[in-house]
Formats: sequence, C-alpha cells, structure tokens
Amino acid sequence: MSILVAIANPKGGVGKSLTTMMLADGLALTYGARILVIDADPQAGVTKALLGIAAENELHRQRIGLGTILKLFQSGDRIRLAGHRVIAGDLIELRDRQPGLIDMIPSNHELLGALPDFEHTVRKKRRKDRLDVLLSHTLRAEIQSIESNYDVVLIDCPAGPGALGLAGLRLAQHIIMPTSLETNAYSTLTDFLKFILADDLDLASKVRVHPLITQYHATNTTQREMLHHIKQGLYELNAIPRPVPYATALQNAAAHPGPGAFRSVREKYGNALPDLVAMTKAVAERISANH
Amino acid sequence: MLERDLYEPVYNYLHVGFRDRLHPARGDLRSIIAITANSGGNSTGLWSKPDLCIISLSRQKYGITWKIDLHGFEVKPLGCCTVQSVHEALNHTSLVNFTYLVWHTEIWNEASDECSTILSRCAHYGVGLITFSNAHDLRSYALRLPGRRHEPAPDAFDEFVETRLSKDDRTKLLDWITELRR
Repeated sequence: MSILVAIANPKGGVGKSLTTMMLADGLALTYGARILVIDADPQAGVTKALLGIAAENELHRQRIGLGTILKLFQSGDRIRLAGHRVIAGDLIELRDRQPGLIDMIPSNHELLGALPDFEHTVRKKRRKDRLDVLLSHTLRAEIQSIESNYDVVLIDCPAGPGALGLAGLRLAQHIIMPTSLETNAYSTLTDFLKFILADDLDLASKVRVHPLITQYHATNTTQREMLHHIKQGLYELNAIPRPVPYATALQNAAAHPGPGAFRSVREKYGNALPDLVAMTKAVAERISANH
Repeated sequence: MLERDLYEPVYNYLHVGFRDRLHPARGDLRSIIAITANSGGNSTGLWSKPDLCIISLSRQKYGITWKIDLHGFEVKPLGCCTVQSVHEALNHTSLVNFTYLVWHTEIWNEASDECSTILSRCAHYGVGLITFSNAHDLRSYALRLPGRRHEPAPDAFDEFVETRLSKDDRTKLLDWITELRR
C-alpha cells in the first residue's frame, strides 16, 4: 500500500507545485522512495518543473495527461491511469531509477479554460452524485491498480474550490498545506481547515493536515513573530516547524533544463539543498507515523 | 485467476514496468498499448492474436528516422503454461517483431523441470518470457528472457493495425505517423 499525500491549499501562489517537486525529489533521493506524482492542476506547474516546458505540448500531442483523462471520464470510458505515466526527474542521482524513482501523470493547459464547461457537462449527466466524489472514486480505483509500484503518491491539487482539488483531498491520507505567512494566506488556511475539511467534505477525521510555511522571509519581523507563535502552538495549526525560505535557488530548481538533460541535486538546488533535506525529513516523519 | 482477468493487470505492468525498456537512452519513444485478445473476430485464425500488444515508435537522439516495432504478448494463467504456449507465442511472429509469453507462476525456480523447459524453448525460438506471481503486484513481474527480433512480412503491420486495434488507437497512430512524417 502506498501513502497518498495531497499538496493542497485553495489559495494560489503559495508554492504547491514547488513543494510537490521538492517532496518528490527529496523522498526519492533521501529515502530511495518510489514516487508517483499526479498533477491535478491544469496550470501544470509541477509537470513543467519535472518534465520541462516543452513536454507539456508534446504530451498533449500524444494525448497523455489530465486533459485526456478528464475527457475519458466525461465520456464514461475507462481512464487507465497507467497509460498516462511518464518518467520524470532530471537528477543524475535518479537516472538509474534504483532505488528511488519519480513517475508522473502529467497535466497540460488543455482544459484550463474549459474546466467550468467540463464540470457543468458532467454534473448535468450524473445529477445525483457530487462531481468530486465521482472523480475521486474513479481515480482511487485507477491508483489502486498501479500503486504496488510506488511507495508514495503525491497529488498536486489546483487552487480554488474546484472538483479536481476536492477529489484530490478525498483521495489523500495526508494533506501537506503550503502556506505563506500573509494575512490572506493565513485566513484562507483557517477557513480551509474549518469549512472545507470539517463541514463540507467531512474529512477532518479521515486525513491528517500538515501546514507547511513556505516563502518565508527571515528578515521580515512580522513573519518572524508569526512563525514564533506557530511554533509555540498559538494557532493550533500543528504546522511543520521549519519553514521553507523564499529563495532564488528554489525558483531556479523549478526551471527544468529540458528533455534528456540531467543535473546533480547540488546543481539543481544550490544553497537551498539543506532546506530540501530538512523539509523532506519533516514530512517523511509525519506521513510515515501511521504506516 | 482466469486468463481474461489477467489482461488488465498485465496491461498496467506493460505501461508501468515494461515500456521503459523500449525507450532509447537518449531518444524519444511513443507507444500504444492495447488489449487485443478479443479483437479481430474469428476470421483472423487460430493462434493469430496476441492477448496484448505494444506498438512502439522510437528514434535515437541522432537518428534520422522513426522506427516502428510491434510487440505481442501471450498471457497464460496459473497452471496453463506448456511448451505449446511457447509455440502459440511463436506463431505471432508472422505479425509482430517481438513476441513474449507472460506466465502466471507462483514460484520461479530455474532448476525445476517446468521452468527450465519453458525457458529453454523460449530461448531456442527467440520468444521473450515474463513471469509474475501476483497479477496485481507490479513488483512481482520479472523479465526472464528478452524477446529476439523477428521480421514479419511488410504488410503484416498494416494488417494487424487494421484488424486488431480499436478505432481510437488507429486514429492516434495515424495522427502520429502523419505528424512524424513531416
């Protein structure tokens, strides 16, 4: 049985895709884990980070990825997730795929503008059930058919309250919630925990939520104070104590050099490497606690 | 498990575990994997239908053209694999470039009569051999012997695609070929 982890936050721009990439790289490198990344975000952030910008169009031409998956779902056909798997990873250390590896189910822009139409059409067709429930049931069955090959499945959820994101949450045993220390981000986080997880989805007892502070500016006194309070347990967030700093090195890490090009982990993450290792270890401790 | 119940798990294995073997070290690969056991009707003849197939289009990084290969897979459930199964897989070489026997066997022991006979016959005829102990556990699949290349008649590929592949897969393949010809 693999561990299903959703990386989610309804607020955009908090670093969900970056966190997903870091976790995939970190878990595969540090623990030799076999990782499957499912990019459920039509913005395809983690697809571009792990496969390169050119891959998005190439995979679209090959009819591989989220767009095709949702079209198959819409027409009532089998999704066959295995058919959408591609090899990810630009790290020399993972090139042999032994022991760690990263595979991914990519996404593309194909449905970015058409998602509301998609949701409307499917809802009209299957009125009785919630779309996110239907989607999560279908995806769960497909993941189960290939999960024996993976230790951890990471689902990069899109921002906003769409069916795709909610389906991702329903699938997960753990939710990593990247959040920046801004007022908006913090209030979205608390709303998310209260209303979406507890009231709407009734998932509060089924999943464990691990807020992760991202884009942390150590020179910002307000953020420093907030982090101090979080560590003291003031907000009862149970957040991962060590924040991921705002670092140019991390932005550079997400710029994939292109297909067939490899780089070492040190070359990729530069001076952000200790942050990658620390974050991976903190997350690994939490998600392996019940397994 | 019945043979027909093994098609879906083997299909997943071909995607997740086997397909990477076909990828050139530095080049490109496109592939279509299909369950063909029930396609084509009875008119195609006895032993003429691999249960699953992979159509692979590959190109080396410094290669000029794309190469199309057809790989056929004959699935045999627990207790149903004999030397005849090897010949059944071998018969597919009139259509496919590479043929494989995919055998559900709980214990693999090369010293046993059963395993060594199947393995030696496969090696003799150039039939690849894949075994698995648990269909749904993709880690239990093992490639015991890679298939050797066979050269079917030039029209055989068209014949196979026309009679065994679904309309969707045919359209996808034709789109790719049109695109890659440019």
